[in-house]
Amino acid sequence: MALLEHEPVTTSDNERAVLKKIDQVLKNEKRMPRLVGPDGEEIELPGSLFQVLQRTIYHMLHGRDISIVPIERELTTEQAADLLNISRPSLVNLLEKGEIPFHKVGTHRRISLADLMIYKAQRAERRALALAEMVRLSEEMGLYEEERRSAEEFNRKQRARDEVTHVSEDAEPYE
Amino acid sequence: MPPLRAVLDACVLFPASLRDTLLCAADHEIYQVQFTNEILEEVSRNLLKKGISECSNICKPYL
Repeated sequence: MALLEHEPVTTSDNERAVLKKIDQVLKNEKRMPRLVGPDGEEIELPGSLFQVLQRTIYHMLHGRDISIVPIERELTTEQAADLLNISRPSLVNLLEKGEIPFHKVGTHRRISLADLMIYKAQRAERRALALAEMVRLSEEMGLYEEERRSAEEFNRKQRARDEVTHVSEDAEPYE
Repeated sequence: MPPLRAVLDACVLFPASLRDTLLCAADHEIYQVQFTNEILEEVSRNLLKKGISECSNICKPYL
C-alpha cells in the first residue's frame, strides 16, 4: 500500500542505443514480441505487458526516471482526490452529493477505480462542452472583436498621450 | 510534481478573450483552475449588467 516506497529507476546514457533498438521492436505491431527465458523457452508477451513496456520505453527515451506505482482497484479518498487533481475535502463533497459512488469499509470510504474513471471522463466532457459553447457565444456576440477594438482604442490613446508627453519634455528647456 | 494551481479572479473571467484562453489552457491541464462561488457570482453579475446572461454559467463545470 505504501505507494512511495518504489525507488525510481534511472536510465544511464550508455543504455540508450539498446533502448532505441527495443523501442523499434515494440513499434513493429505486426508480430507480438517474445521473451526468451534462460533455458531458451519463448513466451509471447501478453497485451497488457506489451503496453507497459511501450509506455516505459517512451519515457525512458525521453530521459525520464521510471517508477511503477500499482493502482489499487479500490481507492482511498486521498488517492481518488489525487487522481482527480482536487483536494480531499472537495472529493468528499462529491461523494456526499452522490456524484461518485462509494462504499464503506468499516468507517473508511472506498471508491472503485472504474467509477472514478467514469466520473473523470464525464467531468472532462462537461467542461469541454461548456467551453466550446462559451467560445461559440463569445464569437456570435462579437465579444472578441469588441475587446480587440477597445484594446486598439486604448493603445491609440496611450500613444497619443505619450507623444504629448514627449513634446512637453522636449519643450521644457526652452521655457 | 504537485499540480500548478491558479485562482482566476473576476477581472480575468469577465473579458471573453482572456477568460476563454485561460479556460482552454486549464482544459488542456496546463494548470489547475480554482475559483470560488463568490468570484463566479461577481462575474455573473457583471455579465448580466452587460446584458450577456447566456455566459453566466460557463465556469460552473470547473467548480
